Amino acid sequence: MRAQVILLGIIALFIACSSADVDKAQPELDNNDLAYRLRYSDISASLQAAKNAYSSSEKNPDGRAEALNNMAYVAYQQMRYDQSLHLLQKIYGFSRNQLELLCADVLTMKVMQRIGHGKSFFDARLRAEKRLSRLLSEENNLTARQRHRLDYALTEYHIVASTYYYYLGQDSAARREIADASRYISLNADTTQWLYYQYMLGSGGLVEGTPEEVTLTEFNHLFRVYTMAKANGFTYFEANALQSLSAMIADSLRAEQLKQQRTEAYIYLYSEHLRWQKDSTLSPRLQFAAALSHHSVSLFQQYCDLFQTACALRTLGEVYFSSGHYDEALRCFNKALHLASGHNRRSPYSVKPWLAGIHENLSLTYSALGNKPLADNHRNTYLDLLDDSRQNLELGGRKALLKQEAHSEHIRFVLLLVLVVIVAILAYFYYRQLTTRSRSFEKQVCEIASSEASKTAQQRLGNLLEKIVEQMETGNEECEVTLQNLQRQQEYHVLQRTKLSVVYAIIPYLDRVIAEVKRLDNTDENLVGRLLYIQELCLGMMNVNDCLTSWIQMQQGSLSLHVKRFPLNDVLRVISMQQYAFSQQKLTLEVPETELTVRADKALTLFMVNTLVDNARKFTPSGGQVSVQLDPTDDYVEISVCDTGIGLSSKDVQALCDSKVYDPNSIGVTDVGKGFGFGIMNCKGIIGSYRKLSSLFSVCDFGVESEQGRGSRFWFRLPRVLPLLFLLLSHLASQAMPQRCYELYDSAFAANVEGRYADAYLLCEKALQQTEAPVDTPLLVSLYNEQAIAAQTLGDWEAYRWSNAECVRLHRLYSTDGTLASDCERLEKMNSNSQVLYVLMVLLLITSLALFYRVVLRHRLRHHASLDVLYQKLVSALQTFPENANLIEDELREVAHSLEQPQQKKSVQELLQIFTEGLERFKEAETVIRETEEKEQRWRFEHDRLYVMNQILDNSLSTIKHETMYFPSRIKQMADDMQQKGFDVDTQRNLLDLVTYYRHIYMLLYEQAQRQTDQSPLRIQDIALDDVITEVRKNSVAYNDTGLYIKGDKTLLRFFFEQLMSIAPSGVSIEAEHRAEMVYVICNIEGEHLSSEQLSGLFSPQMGKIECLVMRQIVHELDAACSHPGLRLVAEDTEKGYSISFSLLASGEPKH
Amino acid sequence: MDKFKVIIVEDDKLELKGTEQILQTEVPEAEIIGTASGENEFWRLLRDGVPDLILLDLGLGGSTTVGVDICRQLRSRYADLKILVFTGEILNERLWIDVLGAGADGIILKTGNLLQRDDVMQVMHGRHLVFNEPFLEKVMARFRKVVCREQASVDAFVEYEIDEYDERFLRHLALGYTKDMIAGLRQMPFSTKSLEKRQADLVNRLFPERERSGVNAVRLVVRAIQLHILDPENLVADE
Repeated sequence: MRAQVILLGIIALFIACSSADVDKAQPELDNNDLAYRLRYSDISASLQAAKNAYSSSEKNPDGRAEALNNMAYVAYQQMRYDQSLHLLQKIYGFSRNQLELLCADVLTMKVMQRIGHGKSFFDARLRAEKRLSRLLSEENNLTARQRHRLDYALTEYHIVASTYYYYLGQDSAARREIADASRYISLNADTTQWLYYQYMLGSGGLVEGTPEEVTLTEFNHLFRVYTMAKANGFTYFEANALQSLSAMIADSLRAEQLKQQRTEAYIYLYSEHLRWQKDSTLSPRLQFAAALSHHSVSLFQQYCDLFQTACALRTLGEVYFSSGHYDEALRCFNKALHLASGHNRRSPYSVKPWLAGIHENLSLTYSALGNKPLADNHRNTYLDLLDDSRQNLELGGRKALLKQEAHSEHIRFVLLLVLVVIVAILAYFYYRQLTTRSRSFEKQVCEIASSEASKTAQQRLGNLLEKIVEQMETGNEECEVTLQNLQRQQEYHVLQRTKLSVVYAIIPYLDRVIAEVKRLDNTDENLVGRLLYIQELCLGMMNVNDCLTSWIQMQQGSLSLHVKRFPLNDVLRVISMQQYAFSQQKLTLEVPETELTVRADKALTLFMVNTLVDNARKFTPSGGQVSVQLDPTDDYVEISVCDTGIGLSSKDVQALCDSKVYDPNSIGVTDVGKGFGFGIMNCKGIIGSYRKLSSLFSVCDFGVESEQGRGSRFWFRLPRVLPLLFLLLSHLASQAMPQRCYELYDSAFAANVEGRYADAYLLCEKALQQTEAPVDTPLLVSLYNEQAIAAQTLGDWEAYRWSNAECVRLHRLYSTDGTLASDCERLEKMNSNSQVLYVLMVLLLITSLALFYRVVLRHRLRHHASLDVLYQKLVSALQTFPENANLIEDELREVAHSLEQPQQKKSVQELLQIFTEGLERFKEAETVIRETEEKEQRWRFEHDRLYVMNQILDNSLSTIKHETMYFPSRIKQMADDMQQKGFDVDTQRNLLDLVTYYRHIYMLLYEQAQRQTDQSPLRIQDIALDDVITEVRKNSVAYNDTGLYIKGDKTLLRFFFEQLMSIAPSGVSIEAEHRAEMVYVICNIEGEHLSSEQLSGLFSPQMGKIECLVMRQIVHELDAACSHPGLRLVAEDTEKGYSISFSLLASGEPKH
Repeated sequence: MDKFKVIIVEDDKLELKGTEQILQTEVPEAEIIGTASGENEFWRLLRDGVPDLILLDLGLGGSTTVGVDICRQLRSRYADLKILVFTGEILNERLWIDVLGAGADGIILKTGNLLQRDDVMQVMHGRHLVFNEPFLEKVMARFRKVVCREQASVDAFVEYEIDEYDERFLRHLALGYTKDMIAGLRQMPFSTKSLEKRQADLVNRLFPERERSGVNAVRLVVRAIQLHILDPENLVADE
């Protein structure tokens, strides 16, 4: 297929060439020649000639095509790109002349380059390349004219490509293209193309060398173009040369160099342009430069080239700008913009880089004139235009690279052949070397044991062990603290239980009072006796009450609520763990997540929420819903537990809310539902404690809303705390780096907006200094842009140029084009044929290498490679040591296994041992830490549980005290009255009612408190008596170790001895002896004598000796826990004072 | 009845006074020959003369259960002596057992109805296990519970149509037997397959419809215990 196309092309070319020889085509050719020759001197004449040629070539398609090419060229020069492309399209439509088609391709390239359509440029170039390769193969058959035309096409082709690469910033490619063009150019054959070529070299960027050399060479080219163009009337090139010369002379350094080294030419030009020098306010050099530009502008206007006129105006404007004549400069730029925008209005194709340049100049000039809004306006337009033109440029640039690659492919192919030979030779040497290398590598591997990395890793292992031991110790210390806290709570709970036993001691008295009151009778002979007995009982009760009151008062302030700020979510997370229990009952529990923080006692808050949720669960039938809701205000958080349960009657709600004491058993709707009130009473008590604590807690409150059959809502309020500031700061710090850059950018932007340009410039610089870490390109572009704006407004043109250049460069870098991939694919397909061969060669090479490998190298390489991999792994494992602690042992083991020489094996094995042992110790320590943590957690849990109980008991006891203490005195009062006034049935009835009510309420409160005592059994162990006494012993205690062991709870026993010692401040001597299965301990307290009455009542609440009551309680509890009733606690008189003796259950020495 | 001698052992003076008054007014036959407030004092008093009845407080001073020990010693020395123990230990029921085990003829709770003439007279007439009213109430409550549980078991067998094989099957499941092992029992003439069917059938009988899904053997056995079909205290494997 492809061969057929080529054949057809050749035939077409042959026909085209032969037809060109026909004589009758001569007149058209003349017109076309004319048009060609006039295209750079008189554009309208050129157009006319081309039109003539076109109209007279109806029967000569080749001449017609050439005429169309000429017309299209004129259209291009006049910036009528759409027209130009339209004419070229016509050529493609009818012509088979490969030469003219080539010319059309080249012109298309030129148009596409100008309007910035990289993709179309490349398409045209590909077409041109194909045609060229065909035409060059038939080169010898061409006529002189065709030869001339081909040379024209070739030079134009390379010059356009060079221009294209030049604007893309690929200077080397541009130079290569212009060098290619030089091959087809001679001054005599085609003056215009020669001029074009010379102008290209002179206009900048295509000459290599030192700046001085470049200046001279470029000047030479330009001067040559100027003189030659002027002599031959090529206005276009004359003007172009003048424009470039003007720019050159505007640069003071270059001008000075030219003045000295090209004095004659310089003077010639200067004298030539004396009459163009209009502005006397300029320096002579700039006057000269301006004159050149003025001349250039006028020539371009004469030639009617809009594009170049605008360019020349820009150059003129830049001359004025550099001299500080901003008004003049502005006029020039505005003129240029006027021309450019006029073109833009007319043409569908705009030349964006051209426009962008003008806008940039305008922005600068306005900025210099202090018109900031207009300067910004133009700068924004400039950036937008840059953005538009960037993608096309980039696409073209990448394609050029790909093509370059395709060219170098055949070079690679040859290289490949050479490679095959070299590889074969190398393979042999390689094998020989491999064996030696393998040996030395093994040596290197085993050196790892004594390497720096290994030492560092060992050091780290040491540090790690040190750290974990430290951690272990800290853990132990924390654990110890928790244990102590737990013990304190345990001790406090013993106190609470003792208090309860005191509370209970009243009840037998009360029952006796009731019995006595019932027996009161008018006929009773012993009426007075009974009344007296009642009064005595009341006094007894009052004594007990006093004991309790003084005790409670004594402890007020000694133990307070653990108030701290904590995230509410900690509590809610625990509550949500009950989901399973709820789902078992076919209930749904909804617990929200929250960020709220409150100030309260955490354990008590958990208890409250838990109590309410638990109540809700009990009283909500299956299928229902229980939800915890949070309602924060500025001051407090209202935590409510809502359910869809059976609800409460309004009477119950009132009882719960208003009365201080109520019968919890009477609250609730159904029999099952009774008993609602205990938890609620405790919650209310806790809220009350908060309120008493401080005015901070005045927002605390508790409430109930309920409707029978529909559900209830129980709520309480805790003071809200705003999250800690440092949390916020740490959050910010975590995002510091990019955040900071963005912040600086924002500040710089704001500074620019507010007119603080110096600040903006410095802020940008600061931000740019900080962007060592990779920061996204858009931010950098924005930063450079802001910096450029600031520099521009400050009038620092140097800084502006630098920032702007960076901005533009990064702008081009940013973002890629999606269509690129498909284009590349197409190009690669084109190269595929040559690649097939290439691939085959490579396959052959690979196969032979594979065979060599398979037969000879494999084993050796594999061993070497695996050792290498292991070595690398080991090195990285050592370097990153504690991160991959588990890996390092495996790596070392494998390396030791892989080594072939036993001596080297040994050193690695030694290292292995060090790490194995170290890690073993580490793991052991970790286990200890974990166990300690678990232990601590357990103790903390127990502590919290006891703590809550103790707090609630405090509340309950306080309530008992407040609500009941006045009853005994009232009863006594009534008994007194009856004694004085005589028996009276009504009084008896009233008295009975009062006592019965008292008993009822007392029992109620007692039962409620009783529920809060710890029902878990004591920890009965075999304990050395010596240890317990030693732990609590003070200087005043005399005790000789006995080596006896007893059964008991260590905490309780210690607490027992503490109480004992606190009642004997002047000293105590302790003795112990083992009799039968008991250990008897006798504590002699000297210096204090007690009466026999005091001694017999020492442990009775009537006496009110708290320590003794606690001791009695402890003995009582040990008695129950050891299942051995009959333990003694007795106080007796001695010669020097008194003794307290008690018995404990003896035990053998514990086995462990 | 003839007069009899009484010793009261009580550490609380007010209570002692109350007890003395009750005896004086309601039990004129009783002659209080002495009172003691502590253990040592009591033993000393006993040396002067052994009474017919001792009213003994369980706790004396700091020794809250010393009464048990005293009672045991008294009983071993004087087989005919009547002993009535006072206690305020309303919750510690195990102590009651200890007291009766130590040989006391009865227990009088200090709360509620106090010592009555009847209590004293019954003991003096040789009755054992004499208790005052609150104590009896508590004993009755316990007794009622046990009886009700047994009745519930009978009712459950009827209500859930449990036959002896069902019971045996559930009992052995509770003991951790697998179905294969149960099928191997002599008194279970069933294959493993039919035991599986029986289990599914039991699930249907013991659970309401909406709770049946996901019931495994453990849940089934627990349900059987809750419904009193199985008695956890009487879980013994068949030979």
